Amino acid sequence: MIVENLIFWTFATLAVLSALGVVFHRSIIYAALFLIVVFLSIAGFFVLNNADFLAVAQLIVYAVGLTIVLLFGIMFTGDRQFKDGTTRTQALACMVVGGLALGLLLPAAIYAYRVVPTPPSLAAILSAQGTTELLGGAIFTTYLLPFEMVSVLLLLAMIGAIILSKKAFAGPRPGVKYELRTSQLSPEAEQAFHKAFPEHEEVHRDGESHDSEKVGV
Amino acid sequence: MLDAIFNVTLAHYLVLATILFVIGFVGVTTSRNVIRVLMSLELMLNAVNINFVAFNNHLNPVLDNGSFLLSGQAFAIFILCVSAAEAAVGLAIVIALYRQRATVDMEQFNLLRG
Amino acid sequence: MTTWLTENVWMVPLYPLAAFFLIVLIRAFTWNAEDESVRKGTRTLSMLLTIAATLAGLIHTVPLVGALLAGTLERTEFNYPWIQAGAFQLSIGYLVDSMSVMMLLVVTFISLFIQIYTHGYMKHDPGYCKFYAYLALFNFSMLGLVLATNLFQMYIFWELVGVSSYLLIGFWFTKPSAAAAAVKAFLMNRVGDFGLLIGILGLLVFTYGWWQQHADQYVLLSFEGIAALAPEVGLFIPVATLTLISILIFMGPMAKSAQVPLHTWLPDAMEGPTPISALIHAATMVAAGVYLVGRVFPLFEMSSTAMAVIAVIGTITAVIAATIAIVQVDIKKALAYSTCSQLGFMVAAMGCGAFAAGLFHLFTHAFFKAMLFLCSGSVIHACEDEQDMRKMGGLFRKLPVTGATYLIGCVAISGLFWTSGFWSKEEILIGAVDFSPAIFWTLAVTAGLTAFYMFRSFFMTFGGQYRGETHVHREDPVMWVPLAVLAVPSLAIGYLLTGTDLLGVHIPAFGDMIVPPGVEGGAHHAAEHHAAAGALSHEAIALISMALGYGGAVLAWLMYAGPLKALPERVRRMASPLYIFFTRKWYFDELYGAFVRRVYLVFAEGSAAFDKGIIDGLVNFTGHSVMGTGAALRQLQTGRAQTYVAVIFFGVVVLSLLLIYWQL
Repeated sequence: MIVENLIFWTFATLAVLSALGVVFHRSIIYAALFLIVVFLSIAGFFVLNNADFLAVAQLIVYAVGLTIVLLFGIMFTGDRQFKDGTTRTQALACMVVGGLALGLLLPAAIYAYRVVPTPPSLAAILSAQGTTELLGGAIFTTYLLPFEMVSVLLLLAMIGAIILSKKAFAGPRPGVKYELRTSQLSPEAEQAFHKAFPEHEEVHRDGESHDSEKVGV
Repeated sequence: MLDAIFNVTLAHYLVLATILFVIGFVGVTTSRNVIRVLMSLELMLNAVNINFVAFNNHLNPVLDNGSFLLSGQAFAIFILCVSAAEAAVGLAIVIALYRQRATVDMEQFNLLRG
Repeated sequence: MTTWLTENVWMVPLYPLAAFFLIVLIRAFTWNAEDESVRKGTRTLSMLLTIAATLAGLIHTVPLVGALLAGTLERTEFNYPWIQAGAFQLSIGYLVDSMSVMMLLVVTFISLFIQIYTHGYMKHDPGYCKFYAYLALFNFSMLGLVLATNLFQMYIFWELVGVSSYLLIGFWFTKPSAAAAAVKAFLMNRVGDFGLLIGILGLLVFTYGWWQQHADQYVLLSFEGIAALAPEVGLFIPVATLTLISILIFMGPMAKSAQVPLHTWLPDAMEGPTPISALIHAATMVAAGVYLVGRVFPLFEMSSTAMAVIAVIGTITAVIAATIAIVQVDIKKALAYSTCSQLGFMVAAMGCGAFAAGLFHLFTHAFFKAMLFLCSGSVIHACEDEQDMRKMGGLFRKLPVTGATYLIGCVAISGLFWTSGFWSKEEILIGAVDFSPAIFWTLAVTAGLTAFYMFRSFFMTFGGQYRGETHVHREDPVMWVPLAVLAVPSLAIGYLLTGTDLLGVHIPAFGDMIVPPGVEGGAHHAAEHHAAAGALSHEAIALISMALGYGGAVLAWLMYAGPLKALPERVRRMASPLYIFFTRKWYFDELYGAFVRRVYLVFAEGSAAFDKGIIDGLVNFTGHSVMGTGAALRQLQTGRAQTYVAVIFFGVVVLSLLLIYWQL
């Protein structure tokens, strides 16, 4: 028991300090790395609470997947001019907002002392059985509808992310002569193109560079 | 007294989650880098996940028929999915924004100002 | 025939209205015509239209007058609903009875000759067409007023008449004095009309129940209804309130008929063209006040205090105006004050209860005063717009017809024997002696003053040697013919209407034809005569008034044409303060000026300060506070998503806590 308590306190300290690092460290790369530490400690809390499947999922999805995506984001948006420093007013805003939120929320959390928890009876069974099977049962029976909705959500997010981050194409603009680089097209595709745009007669097979805007089809 | 503080109970997890949540919230509201805002958002979501899992463990999850109720963990999984989706769309938006403004400074995104 | 004319009497006001609109229409097309013949044609056409309209009205009226004289005139009243709001209904219509027929005759007859005369007087004025259009508009308003069946309708035409008067006084509006006079007339009349309106509304407030009960019999506020209501009015209104309402209603006539203290506009109104002075400010419109008093006479009779007030105001007006007229040197001003004084006689007669006498004097006065003004216009025209009598004199040889008719007018207004003024003035004095000896003697002496100042103006203008420098023009037939025509009724109409036979036709006495509403034929008149026996006999009264009249006339001859020519100057020196007092018109204008400056303007400035400081302050405060609140709240709208997130977050948290802890 005492070991578990010690693990908790270690992870708790690590999580809070890293979280502060995420928010306040000057470098955004370091912030992302601190975020990985937070995710790891949270995976530890999951293990402490008999959620081994979740702990692994946390490691895969958050600590690895999400962080990599974030790092890609940082790379794509490298802003040399931008200095992410903490000014005096920003510090004041942090204290005000943080103090207010803590003041409002902490009493609610401490209030949980009055809830008498049932002693963790799960541990013995779960350590023998594992939560994965149980969790799978719950998701595919009780929570089937939310599960399906989440899958749709993920699909949507994927399509949305692609559309949003793709370069915008506003359609053919009048007065601009478009050039088709047919060297990139298969003969079938070229035939189909001429069927769709019969007025587009000039085809440059050699792919010479012109001043007009180039569009890949 | 010290013993009561040292021995981990549900309240400990709740307080910890609250602290992480508030740190995340402070980050969301005060940081000027869009990417950092997204990170802080993840922090907040994770704090919520801690709450779900802790509640699931500490309140008796055993039903009358002897089976276990893992609603908390199931919710945590959903949150995981939603936050992944949110991060993907959020980053896509950030990149689209960056194309338009060539900056990640939140203070430059003030078109809403009347 | 008479029945048809009676039933279609509404056409009489519509003739001039049609003429007015036609002239306006024609002018709209030709006002900037280059062609001389078109302009001349427009002028001739406007004149002919106006005169034709008036002539049509006169032709329409004459058979009605014939019926009145023959005693076959049926009292006819038609009403059309005008404004309907639930049980409340205002009507507009026309009323034919002896009074309105008499006024129709006066208005159409005098208008006709004045319009003919106008052609000569305004021949060279650029506003010739406009003038005729205004004349037609005035005629419409005045005839509508005469035919009104109820107080509301009369009030409307009352105001229309006021507007026409304003337009015509300010006809030469480029002259500052004329513009000022027009505004003064309008404002003075507003004071009176204000009282009149409040009086009408006050009467309505107290007696509305009675009108509702008799809604099927009498139209709201109709004169017939007022006559029927009067005997029982004490049931609805306490006497003191009735007196107040009567005096408020009387304020209208007070302003319109130029009674003290609202008389100051009338002399100034002489800034208008002379035909206007003759038509509106001598013969017709100013008499409208007396006419209104005649219409609501039964109501006034119910309050003896109100009657006394009316009598006293009339008498005071007669005296004050006469004293001012004595010292006037402007021929039109002198005539204006004389009009004022004569109106005082009429109002005093009304106040004394001598209903018929007042209207009789109105009737006769209209003829000779219109004629006198036209004479003065002729003189002014001949002397090239000179109005100062000190620069005239000896004009009789140059203007024989004008001189002769002016003399006839003087004789008539002075009430010398047999002329029309004699009969009507005697009637008034008979009525006054019944009412109060003080008023009788005051009026009698004023009659003497009248003779004095009228003959003074005659001798100053026509007697002696010419004192002016300008060349005197000859008379124009178009101007002297109306004078000659008007001279006939001025002389004879009074005698005719005392109950005589003319060419074998019996003409009833004026007092038998015109009786107060609600009194059956002649009873009132007889009672009046009966009461007179107690005081002075009719012969004595006639003798007294004649003696004073001749005395005044002879004195005027002595002082201004006879052997005592030095006397006026000596009197002026001896009674210098009094002379100045009279020439300054009893300081009425100064009094009003001081009142306006010291009281009204101070009050107005106070109100303005209150408005600017407190009212505007409140309004501005509202605006500023809204703007301030907006400026403060705008700080919340930073345009930054993070702020909104924070606000939403705290909102949700606070609401949740409220829900959890207080189970809200």
